[in-house]
Amino acid sequence: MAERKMKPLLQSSLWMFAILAVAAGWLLTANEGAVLSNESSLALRSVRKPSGAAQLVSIEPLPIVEGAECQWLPASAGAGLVAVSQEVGGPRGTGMASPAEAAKRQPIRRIHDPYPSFSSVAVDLKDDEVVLTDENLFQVLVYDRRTNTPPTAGFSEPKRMLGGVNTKIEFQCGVYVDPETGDIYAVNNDTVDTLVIFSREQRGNVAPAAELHTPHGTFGIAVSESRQELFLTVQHTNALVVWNKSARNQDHPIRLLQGNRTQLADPHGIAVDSKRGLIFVTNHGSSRELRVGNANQGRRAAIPNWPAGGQVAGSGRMVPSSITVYAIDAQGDTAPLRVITGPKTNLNWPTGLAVNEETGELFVANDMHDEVLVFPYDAEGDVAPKRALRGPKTGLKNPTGLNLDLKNNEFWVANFGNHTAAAYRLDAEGDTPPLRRIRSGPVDEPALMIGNPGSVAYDSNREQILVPN
Amino acid sequence: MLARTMHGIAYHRLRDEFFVPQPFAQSILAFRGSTAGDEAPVRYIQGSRTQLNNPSRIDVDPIHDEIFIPEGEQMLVFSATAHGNVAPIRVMKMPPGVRVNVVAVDHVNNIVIAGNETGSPEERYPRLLFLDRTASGDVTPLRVVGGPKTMMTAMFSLRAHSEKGLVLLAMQSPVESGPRDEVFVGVWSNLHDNGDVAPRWTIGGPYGVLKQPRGIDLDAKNKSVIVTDKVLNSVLTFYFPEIF
Repeated sequence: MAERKMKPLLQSSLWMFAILAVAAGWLLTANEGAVLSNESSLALRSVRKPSGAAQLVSIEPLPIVEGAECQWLPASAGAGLVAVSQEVGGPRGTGMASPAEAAKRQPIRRIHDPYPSFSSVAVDLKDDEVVLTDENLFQVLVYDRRTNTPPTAGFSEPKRMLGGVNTKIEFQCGVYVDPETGDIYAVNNDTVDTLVIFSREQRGNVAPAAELHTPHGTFGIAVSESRQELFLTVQHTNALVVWNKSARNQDHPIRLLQGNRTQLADPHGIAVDSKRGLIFVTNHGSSRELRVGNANQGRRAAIPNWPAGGQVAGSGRMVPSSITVYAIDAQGDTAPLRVITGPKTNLNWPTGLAVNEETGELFVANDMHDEVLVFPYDAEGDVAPKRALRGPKTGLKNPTGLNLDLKNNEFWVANFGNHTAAAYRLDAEGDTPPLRRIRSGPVDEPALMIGNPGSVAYDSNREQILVPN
Repeated sequence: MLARTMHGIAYHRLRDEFFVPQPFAQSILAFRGSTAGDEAPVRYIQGSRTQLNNPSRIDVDPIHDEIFIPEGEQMLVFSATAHGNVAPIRVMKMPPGVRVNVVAVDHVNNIVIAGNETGSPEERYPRLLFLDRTASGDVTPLRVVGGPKTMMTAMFSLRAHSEKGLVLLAMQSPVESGPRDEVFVGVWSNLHDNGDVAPRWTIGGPYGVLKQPRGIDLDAKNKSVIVTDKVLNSVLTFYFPEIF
């Protein structure tokens, strides 16, 4: 009886409670509205009611920041931000990509010049051919001397090619052709310490017919036929080394010109005037004090007339580009007979060099000015060239190799900067087009001039790649 | 003032300058980032106080504004703003018998990583030395990585990925010039690797596309590694998100 009377009473109590709760809620929101009544209507509308779940309340975009991105890290990440970001370098086996698979990954981009880039030139008058070294694809290419690539052609095919691992040809920068035998002597620069010699009959990926072990960093080559001597410049040790022309393998040089009096400063091209008994050397201008003498060859066993590598720390300096002139039998620490240098000369990385013994004219491939300069052989000091070949019609672009063809009254230039080699009249000057041009790539195809890319840097500001050669 | 045959370059992203060691004139050249054509460097370090002998490699610490030059028995540290005939601000003298000619700087963890192209005559395998970036005078490596498991038989250059505490190494062949298959770019940790440990990753080999790697740099924004190769005479870009 009592329970039946309690139920209606309980129900009434519950209803009263609910009504009171609603009334209280209304009172709360009314007060809240009263508090904000002085704010903007927008503010009022922005007040959110609790919903029991997470709500998006604000969006603020992060500023774009250059450089490495910070990875989003889960709440379960380890102790510190730095430590977590370096978990990829932490304990091994962290579940990253398989190293074996990653090792096989191909590059997404490759910057490479697919066409030969000519660095030096020599003329074979006996066989009416011109021989060119290709410092980009590691080849020696032989063309008919009269080749003249038509404008519509992609390139000219060489008559003969030498290239491949067996040839030991790499970054070649000097070439000589024996006028009697047609043997090709090609100079490797700073990656292979070997002068390679090929016979006239050789082609393809073949071992050299002969080799000569050379100092590191040889560049220019010249031969005195009357003396049967072979001359090489050595960039890395500011030296000039002379062998008997018949020297092979480990035969040692017969003379060495090296020392602080020589004024050799990053020597490159070389020419020999056997008639006047002179040597001419082009220098790019980097100099430092050397410690000369065979005792300074370090751990190498003493080799007669081998350049010394020792130098005095902190003695480096830059001097202007120059042409230094020596007696043909100069050796030791001997000063030049003459030096051609100065602003009037216009020399700027002078490289290939050749001398006309008949007229006494010195031809210079002036790399950084896209020109060929001609000086009298007895020029000295700060003198202007007697003639210069320059201008857009010449087609000269970073000329590094030069050779004379006195039989046909021409000279040849190898242009490292535009896939061409060209022949000009011996007395050409001014803005004169070549007589003939051999192209190894399409017209207007830029030559990348990549040669032994020893390093790289990424400019993240410009998104550019810097490659020193 | 440049020369042919340069084996080092480093970009300072905060200064927008790049630095090139010029060994033939015993100089360090600093160029504006936008330099083009025949333009002189904005600064260069050269002279009797510099102790520069054969500067061939270089790295830049953009945060502490320093440049590092390995010079055989010592590591020379210059201010990035150094100009003229100035002495290094720090000289790290390597342990006896150790000569270094490659370098990378981890500016986050304050570690300098140094190595020798072919190791010392007594070592069959070259080694990576991890040094305190702020050290001066006689230094003792914090850690050394080297040995047959590393697969290192020679090295040409290093580059650090400071934000991840990693170092990348261009492993060339010491045997001869020409293409080699055993070469690669290897990745080790600047913090956790020690002793005879294999690289955590290798890029481009071994037995891959690389034939004689030379230079390395990183494009963090695109998660890429840029590598130059002497035999390929090319610049290659590898997408490698694993280390970014």
